[in-house]
Amino acid sequence: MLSGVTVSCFVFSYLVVMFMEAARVYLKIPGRNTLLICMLVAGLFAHTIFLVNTLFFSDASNIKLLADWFQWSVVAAWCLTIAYMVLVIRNPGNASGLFLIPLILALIGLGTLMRGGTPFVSTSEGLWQVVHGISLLVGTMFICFGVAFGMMYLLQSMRLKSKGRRKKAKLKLPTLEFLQSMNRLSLFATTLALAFGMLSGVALNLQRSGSIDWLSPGILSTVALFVWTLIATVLEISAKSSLGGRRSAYLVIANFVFMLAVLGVVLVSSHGQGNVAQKSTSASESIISEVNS
Amino acid sequence: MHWTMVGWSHHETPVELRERLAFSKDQVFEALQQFKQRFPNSESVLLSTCNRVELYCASQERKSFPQHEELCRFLTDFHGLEFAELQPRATALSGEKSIHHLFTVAASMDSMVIGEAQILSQVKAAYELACRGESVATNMHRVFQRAALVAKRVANETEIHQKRISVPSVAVSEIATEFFERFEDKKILLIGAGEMGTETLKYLKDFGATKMSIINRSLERAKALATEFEAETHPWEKLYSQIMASDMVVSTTGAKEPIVTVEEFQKARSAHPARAVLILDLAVPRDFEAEISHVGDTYLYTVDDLQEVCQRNIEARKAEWPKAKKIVQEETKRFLSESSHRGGGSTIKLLREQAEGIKQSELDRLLNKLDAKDLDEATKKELQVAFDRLVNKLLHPPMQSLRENADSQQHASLLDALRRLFQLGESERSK
Repeated sequence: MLSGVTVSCFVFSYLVVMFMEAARVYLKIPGRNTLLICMLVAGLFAHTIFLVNTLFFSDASNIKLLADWFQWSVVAAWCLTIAYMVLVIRNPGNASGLFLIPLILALIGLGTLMRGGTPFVSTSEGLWQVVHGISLLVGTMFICFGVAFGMMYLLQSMRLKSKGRRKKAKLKLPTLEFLQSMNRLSLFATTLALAFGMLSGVALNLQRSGSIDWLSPGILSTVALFVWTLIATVLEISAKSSLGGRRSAYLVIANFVFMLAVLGVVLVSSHGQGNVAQKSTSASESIISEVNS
Repeated sequence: MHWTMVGWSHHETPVELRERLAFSKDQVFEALQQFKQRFPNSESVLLSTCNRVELYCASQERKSFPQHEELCRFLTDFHGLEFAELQPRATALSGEKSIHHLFTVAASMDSMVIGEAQILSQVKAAYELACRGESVATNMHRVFQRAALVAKRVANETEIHQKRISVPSVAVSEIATEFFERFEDKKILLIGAGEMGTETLKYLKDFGATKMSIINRSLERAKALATEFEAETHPWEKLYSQIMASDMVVSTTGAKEPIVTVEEFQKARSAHPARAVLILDLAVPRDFEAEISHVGDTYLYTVDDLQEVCQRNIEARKAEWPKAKKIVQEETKRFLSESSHRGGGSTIKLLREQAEGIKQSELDRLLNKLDAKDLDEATKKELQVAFDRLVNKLLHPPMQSLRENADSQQHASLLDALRRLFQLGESERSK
């Protein structure tokens, strides 16, 4: 299906959208919001086609879902783009794309760098593997989402504090309350997703080998990330203000930095990856075999 | 159709005189009844607000139409005021200018605060009162209904009404809305129960605020205001704890010294470290020490910050002025053109009916006389055609002149001349 669609097609669309967002400062483009939404829809369409082709039609004999880092990153980027589109449609005047699109592009860039690498090892415990993979994907997505809103919160807070900056500001940002609610949402959702990811990882390891190597770098760093997000969530719950405070923003930004470190450790330690020689099958294939059995 | 208006507004007349000229609702009603008795062929609407008193009149005929001086005297006499003192300050406009003025007033372009929304409802109320008093007919219905449409068009097609320009409205609509998505669930504290505080509460209520509380040195006054706005009251001693419990604080006291110091604020805040708060200090002198703005997660706005926004918005409204003026001009021309066509239509109909009546009676008289001479049908028909042609040829030049001047200012004068020269409608009136 539309096999000519490549990564560069939607990357180009997203770059144009980012340029249009950034140009709010310098240029007055008539019908900017409509053009921006059209360009974003075009990019998202190409992104979806590319994902469908990669996940379901790349090898008809071997159906794969989230089989490697490349797919994992492109799916995470797609989810973030959907979230961005909802925000744009909700309030087209806000320049949230300037904060979200770089993350989307970074995820795609990461996937492209890892393209052709060792695929994730497949196990007979397919269901736990799917839950583990999807939970960590959702967690990562919400951490990226959180960092964008955390940055926006800090910028908006700085502008509102300094009335001079508020007066000169050409980029419209969402209200502090909305940014705070997004920070909160991302913190809670990240903790929940990581909890699921960790529990499913435990179940997966127990079923696979009957024991868990808690000191392996991949597991240890993921547990540390979970514990950190749990602490951050408890701190956030203790704050009752509608406007929150800069502390929430710092927490979600710290989440992101922590996640980058964990991602680095996981990538280096080849967590979840089998040997190249090992035949790669995907989680969805495992589900199918589970169902069949 | 003839239009005229006289009135006094904030432009030329000081408030002391405007107060004396102002009409209460009952007085407006009474004045319109008196006017109807004195000028039975004129329609009238009396607009009385705190910034203007204006009497609008319309009539089909120039002859019975009141002059500016008569209108002016009518209004001053009603209040028993000195005509000579007030007449020089009066605005007196006729024809197109009076229509243009009404549209400008309704669109809030002649208001003291350009773009304020209240004037349109006042214009509508004046018209409704005139309707109840039956002092208006077709012409006034049309012009006042059109005035409301013009005001709507100006509001929709320009941004003249969009930017708020009073300190409380800017505080709520432009500053608070950058912080909050909605106000229903926000704890809002008002410090002081004065005029500014009351106005701010009104705006907050319009924006959906429900959890409002008031702190005032005089608890009685706070309670009175709280009843009006369904708010809570707290004793003055709880000032700091209430500030800490609020999402937004509006301060409007008349205190000579700051009522909230940075030391006390920080001390109270240490118990609520993560709570961000928006403080709108609308008091002069300020109620909050300026250093409070440096405290983390505290956003302090003073009257000066808000005045700047007000000034910017006033400039923005002024920038919309040419666009709004163009709309009013367009609509005035369109209205007058439509009026001319309507007025012209009825006059032409009267003229044709009158000519037809004369022709028919003369033709009947002639045919009766000629009947004795055994006139054949063909000759009768020939005579009828000759009479018809005669009437048409006589009426053609005036009709053509009316058509040619349909959109000009002379149209009303031509129609009036036509009515007077041919004494159109006189017979009906004499009946």
